[in-house]
Amino acid sequence: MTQKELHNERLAAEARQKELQFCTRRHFLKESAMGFGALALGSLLGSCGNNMGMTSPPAFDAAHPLAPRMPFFPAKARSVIYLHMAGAPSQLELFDYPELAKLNGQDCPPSLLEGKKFAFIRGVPKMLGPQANFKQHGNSGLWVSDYLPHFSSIVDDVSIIKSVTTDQFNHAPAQLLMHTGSARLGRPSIGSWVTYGLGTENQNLPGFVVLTSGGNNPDAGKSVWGSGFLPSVYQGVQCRSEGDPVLFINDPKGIDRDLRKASIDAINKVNQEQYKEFNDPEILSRISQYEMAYKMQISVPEVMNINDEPEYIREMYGAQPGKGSFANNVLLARKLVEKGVRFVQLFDWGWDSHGTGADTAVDIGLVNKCRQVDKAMTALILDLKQRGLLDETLVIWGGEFGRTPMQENRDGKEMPFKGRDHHAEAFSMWMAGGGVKGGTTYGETDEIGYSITSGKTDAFDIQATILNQLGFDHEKFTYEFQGRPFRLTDVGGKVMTDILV
Amino acid sequence: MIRFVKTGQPAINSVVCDEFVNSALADTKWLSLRNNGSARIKKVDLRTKDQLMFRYATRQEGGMWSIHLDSLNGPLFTSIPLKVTKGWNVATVTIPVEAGVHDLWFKYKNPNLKTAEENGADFSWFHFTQAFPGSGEPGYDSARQQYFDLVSSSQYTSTPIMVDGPSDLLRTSNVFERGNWMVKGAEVKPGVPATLNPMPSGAPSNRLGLAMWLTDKKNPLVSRTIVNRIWEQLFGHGLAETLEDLGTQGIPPTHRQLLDYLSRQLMHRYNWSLKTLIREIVLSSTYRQSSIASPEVIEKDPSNKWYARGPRVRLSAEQLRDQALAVSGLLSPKMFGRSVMPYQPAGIWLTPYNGESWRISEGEDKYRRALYTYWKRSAPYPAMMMFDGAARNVCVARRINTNTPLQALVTLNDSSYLVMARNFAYELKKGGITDAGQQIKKGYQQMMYKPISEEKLKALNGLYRQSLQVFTADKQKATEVIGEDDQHNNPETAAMVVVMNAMLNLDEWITKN
Repeated sequence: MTQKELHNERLAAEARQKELQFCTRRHFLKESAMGFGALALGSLLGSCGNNMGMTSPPAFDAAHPLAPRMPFFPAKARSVIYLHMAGAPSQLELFDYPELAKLNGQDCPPSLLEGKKFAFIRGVPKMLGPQANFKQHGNSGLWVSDYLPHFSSIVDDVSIIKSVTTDQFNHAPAQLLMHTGSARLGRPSIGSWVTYGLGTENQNLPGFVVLTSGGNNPDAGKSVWGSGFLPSVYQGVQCRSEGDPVLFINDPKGIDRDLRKASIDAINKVNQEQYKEFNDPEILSRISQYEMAYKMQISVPEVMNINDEPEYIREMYGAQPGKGSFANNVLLARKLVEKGVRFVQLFDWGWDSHGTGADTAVDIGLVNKCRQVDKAMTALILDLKQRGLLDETLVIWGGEFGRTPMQENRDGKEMPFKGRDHHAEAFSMWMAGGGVKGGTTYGETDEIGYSITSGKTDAFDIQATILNQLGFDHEKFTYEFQGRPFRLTDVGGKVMTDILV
Repeated sequence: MIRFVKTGQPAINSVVCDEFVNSALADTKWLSLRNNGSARIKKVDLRTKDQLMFRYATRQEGGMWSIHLDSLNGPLFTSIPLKVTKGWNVATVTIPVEAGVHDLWFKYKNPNLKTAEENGADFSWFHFTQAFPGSGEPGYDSARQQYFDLVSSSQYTSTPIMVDGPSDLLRTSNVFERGNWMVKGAEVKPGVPATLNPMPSGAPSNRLGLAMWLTDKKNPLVSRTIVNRIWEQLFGHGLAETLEDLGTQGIPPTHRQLLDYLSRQLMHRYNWSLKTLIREIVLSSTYRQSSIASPEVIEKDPSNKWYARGPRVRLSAEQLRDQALAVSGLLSPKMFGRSVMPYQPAGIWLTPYNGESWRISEGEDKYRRALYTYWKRSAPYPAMMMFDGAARNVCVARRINTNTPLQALVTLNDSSYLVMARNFAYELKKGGITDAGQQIKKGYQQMMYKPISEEKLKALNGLYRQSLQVFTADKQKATEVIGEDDQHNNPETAAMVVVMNAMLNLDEWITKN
């Protein structure tokens, strides 16, 4: 049996088992759900609109804000997994292989410094060659460094964009720009836009899930998954590795599942009495929300539990149950999209390689960070592929900006570790699946990775492309606020057709 | 002693200084003068001013601060010896009265400073004003002293108040070309949109003038907006649904004449008294209708925009919390003061680069009204966000109520709600009521202001019996619900807590009927 056949065999076995579980669960839920709730659920799902061919967003229905809706045109991708490396990973140690090595240790030429502003670099810094070794990989011959040995094996499935640029060089505003289309607070995040446009497929799970690792939330806080001016129902729901997996999902101490079921039954019985008197359909809706809450209490811990995953899958990701690691989160992301969650956003903190200490040195700390994500992100692509989900799942990887080809000299002084400052002008991201071409690169930088020479791509272009793959014209997907329609992409954005199938 | 002092404003903040020589804006905001250092403040109106109040700090004996008019070596205006301070200090000196508007050049000299880099004195603001009034009156000196003690004191928490800058402190405002603040276009002056009514004659071009314009009876927009918003608070939706936009892009009002009538009344009859307006609305037969409606009525008008029935509105995030605190007997009536940190799950605040943490408030501060909740925009209070609270990142003109399973999870499982259910159950036992059915009846009556129906009581009694069974069989569970050493730790009370937890989730409780 070849490796591939073995894989298929295992997957088939896993699928059969899941199907059995699913049948039992469906049976159980059907039995436990009360007639009334089922009725309300029917009307809820019945309201599933069809906007196909329409050019304007669906009208907001406050009674059923999360009912599934169709996009403007047939979508290439059904779900999105966005892996954000908060702190901004160095493109110069990972993907962009410029001839920077030749200049290592030389003073930075004044032409690169004139009129430029840096977060920490002062005076004339030295150039810093790539600390990693680069090789070409796959049939496509894409350049990837030895910091990412696993990722190197899947380059034929990804598009590396080497020409991303931003106009923000501090973390919080740059992250906001990347995810909300504005460097200032108050705009909805891309996941909120998508949930507003498409609703939720699996009513037992939130439609927009956020997972964080690395010990901190991103610098911009919860605003990067906030709903801005959209109704707050569209904000990202943070699933946590410690405490309740979703806030308030666990029953209080001393109140077990059966008793919780009994409470909800009693609440709904009283609410039914109320409905008999008032005839208000909102009461039916509340009854169904309580039933869904109960189902969510089963579904969420279940989907968040990676113990159920077979050993070889956990091994593939490098996931260890009980940890708040990136690897666990990536595996969870796959489980979530498998269950119909639309948008999964991961933030991994700790990529701010300034060289102020060993943990932020591009030749020490960055190597460790890469080790923490390399295997898992590679496994994600392989696993989605073997499940036939890669075609319909768009995976995006990147940070909020890049890092300078110069070595950081904080306060004009030489530093003990090798670090790089924030660099807004050029950085790299990659995308895979969901209708994105494999084995390609897009855009070029100059020979030292400092400026973009072709294929300039900004946050709006990335956002426009994500929306396009989900079936939305980013120029027509709007929300009325303060007297005018707003777009995720403001007045910018062009779909990056060159990297699309 | 004194709750409100407005003084020292508008001050000239040190950030406006320029022309630094051996001086700088320390920490980007304090004017820091070193030996022989100098700096400038442009265009200060000195007319009729005979006092200079300033906030400064210096650790160096022997510093002399001099102010020159219009150029670094211009005529000496005044010289002020700077006494050593412990931290920041507010000082006042008498200055000569000078006609006109001048650029002020500051110089600082101190022979005790050995090197040019050593710091001399820091300043945070300057305020040119007139002498404390009442000179020569009895008690003048002590009153004046008390005033300055207050001004210099750090014991009082100060709340900044917006004050209009006088004409000499107004900055020039420019159009930002294509929104870019780096590219300044034509200068603009305060004004009102040309398509609307002009400013009333004699109104100054400032905030007062704007207020006069807003409330000018020729401009019904403000009145219409307020009437519409209050109507929305009472009925769940405005006469015009789009509270944020009563213009051509908004949804037209369902009852335009009513909106016009009420806004005219508000201006002309009620003299802007909102209380009178609310009274008028809530005494109307439209508002006093029952929310009960036949299926036919609901089918004809599902969202009740034609008002054939009374309103049914889900309470706001803040109202929900306050109401549950109130009925459970926990609500603290304390008013004013700092924000508080009621219970929230651990790990909501995880901010890089600072050690801030959510420390749950002590005692009754845990149970203050929701509006006292500490608010951090990047990590807002989750239970309120789930009930459509606004994150306060942007001005939200209208909250849109939604209905989601996550809301049910808050009121079912949030520890705050458990604490409330627990206390509510304890309260119900008071007065020697031991019968569970009686307790439920009493609780329902307190919550809904009406007796409970047979069927509802049956459902809740059923829940009580089932819970009691569980807790009798497993006392550990009762302990988990109540807590270890509590006098209330028994299966009966634990079962009642479960029932009260359920009751705080009833639709008729969450919704205003």
